[in-house]
Amino acid sequence: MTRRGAAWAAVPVAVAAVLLIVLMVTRDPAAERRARSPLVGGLAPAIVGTATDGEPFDLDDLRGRWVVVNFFSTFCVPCIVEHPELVAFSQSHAAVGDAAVVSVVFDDTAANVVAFFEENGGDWPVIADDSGRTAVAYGVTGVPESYLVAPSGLVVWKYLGGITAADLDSAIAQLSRS
Amino acid sequence: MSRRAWGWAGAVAVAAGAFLYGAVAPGPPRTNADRVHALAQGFACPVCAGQSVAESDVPVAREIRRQIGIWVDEGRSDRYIRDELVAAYDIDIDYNPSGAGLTGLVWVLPVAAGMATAGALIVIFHRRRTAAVASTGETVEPAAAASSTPAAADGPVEPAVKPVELAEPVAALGPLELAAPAVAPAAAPSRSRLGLAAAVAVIAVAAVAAGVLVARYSGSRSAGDSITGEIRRTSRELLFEAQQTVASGDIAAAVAIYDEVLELQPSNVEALTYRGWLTARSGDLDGAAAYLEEALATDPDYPDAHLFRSLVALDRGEIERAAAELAVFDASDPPPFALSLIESAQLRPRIRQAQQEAALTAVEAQRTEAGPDGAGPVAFVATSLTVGQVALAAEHLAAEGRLLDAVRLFDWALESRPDDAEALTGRGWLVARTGDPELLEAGIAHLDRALELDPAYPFALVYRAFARYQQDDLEAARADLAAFDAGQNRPAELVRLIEDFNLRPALG
Repeated sequence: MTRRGAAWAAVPVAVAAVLLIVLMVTRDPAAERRARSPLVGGLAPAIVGTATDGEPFDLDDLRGRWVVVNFFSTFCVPCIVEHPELVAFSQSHAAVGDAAVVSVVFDDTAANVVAFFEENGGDWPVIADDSGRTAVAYGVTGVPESYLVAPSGLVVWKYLGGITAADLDSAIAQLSRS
Repeated sequence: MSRRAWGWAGAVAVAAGAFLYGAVAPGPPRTNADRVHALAQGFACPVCAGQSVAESDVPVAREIRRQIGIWVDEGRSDRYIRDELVAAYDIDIDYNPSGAGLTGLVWVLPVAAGMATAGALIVIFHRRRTAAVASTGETVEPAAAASSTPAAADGPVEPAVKPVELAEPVAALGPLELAAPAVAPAAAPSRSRLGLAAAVAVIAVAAVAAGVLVARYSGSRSAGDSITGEIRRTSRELLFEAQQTVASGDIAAAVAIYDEVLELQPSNVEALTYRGWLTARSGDLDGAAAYLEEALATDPDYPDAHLFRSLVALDRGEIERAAAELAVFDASDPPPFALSLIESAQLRPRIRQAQQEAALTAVEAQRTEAGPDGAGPVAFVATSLTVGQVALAAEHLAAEGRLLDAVRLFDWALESRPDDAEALTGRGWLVARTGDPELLEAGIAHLDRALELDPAYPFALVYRAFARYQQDDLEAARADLAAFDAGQNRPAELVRLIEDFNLRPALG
């Protein structure tokens, strides 16, 4: 291969390398708990069903409020650690009514969940999701995983792992300002 | 072997290949379970390395498999299932990416690269062959010269292969004169470059076109899928779009979207409700009422419909209907937007004022009639009025600054009904809230009497809590509030009164 040919061959390699570097620099770090999701910016998938307390539930009925959609299971340790934070968040917003929590059971039984809430508190709707339809619709990969739904009904944030009430309040404050 | 024989051999080879493919190629899945398995093999497990959803046994893979099974049982197409999973988990989950958009490059590029490589090889071989012929022509000049004669019409190779046969007759014509145009040293490179460029262009276009075609027809299009894909939006998506459109202020567009939803689902409660509300905003109150009645007939518990029905009823002069609908709405769990709408529309004060005006008109119409003795007004019990109407009329008089007339009205009712807790409470609160110490004392006395008659009467409890707070008797006020909280009946207007005046924080 001539020198000129080699130079031309090097061009696409250099372009690819630059693009790769740009891509890596502009992506969120792997440690970022706020995760990418194709759902962010789109309408939150429907959650319709009967809660574990027997009451009918429809996510659309909460339109106009911030909603934390939390996927959990009772045998997941981070979920147990996270639960008091969700209780605190729910209680702090109960009076104003501007935010609500809904939990969706992932790979667990309704009986376990009822016992878990009796022991650990929390009076928000819990959806059994026996078919797994809701978890798949939200693209859940493990628990705990949470989605923040804006009053407009759009998904605005996805969290991997346990969250805190402060995380949620901070996100809501930030998004409300913007 | 002759050309005909080659043709037959090719046809037999193609037929044999087709039969062989038909025999060994896997057919479409025979059962739903087969189809679920085949689909699951086409998706990557989101949390595993190199395993498909079919292979992995982590919880998320199990959930996805289960969901694929549900979709298959529902008769969903492969395309639908793929779109749903990609929408939730992103394109990374799909082992068989779509041929559309940027993703289509994964189909286009390999084909284009393959064809470009083949084209490049053809060009290279062609150039080498041409170069070989040219070099042969330079050493055997007569052969090169013969290429311009009719005998060389089949191609430039034959003279090179058989130089001796052609050399003798051509040489007699003078080799130097004929060789010049055949070799054409100045013109040949130019034609060669042009031809090469044309060949490259043709190859590039053909390669890209082939890639696009492969992408289009080898992508994840399933049997029965439309060419343009699914374009019909769901009712839910349309409702969301309608809400956004309303928020943007384009009412006509929002109406069109709600009508589209109602075409899809004529009994969609949300569409009926908001179509009714937008109709009311356009001034057609009867049309709005019809939509809202239909919504409430479909779902009697839908709070938004009750709220809008209340607003429409008030505008139509149906005061009691407006109050009743608002009461049903209050008993539900109203969303924040609705509360702000009530606030901005001044719904409560407007209903209250309309009720008070109507009550005052009714009271004045009956109270001015003379009694049997001809002196003073007719007795309260002799009229068709209720204590509630008297209380509303008294509130209206008090709001106009006619406190004494308001008190007289209550006294008129109490003359006939001295043990009516509602009348006692109304009179007590009317004077207690003035803040005057003497009137406060007198008001509490009436409230005490009301609670003697009905210890759980919520209005008397709350009003007395306020009165006692004004007297700085915080402990007694807290007790009244606790009794109210413990009661079964806690009217929304009392709850709002407590909140609006921050009674709880004040009592500590």
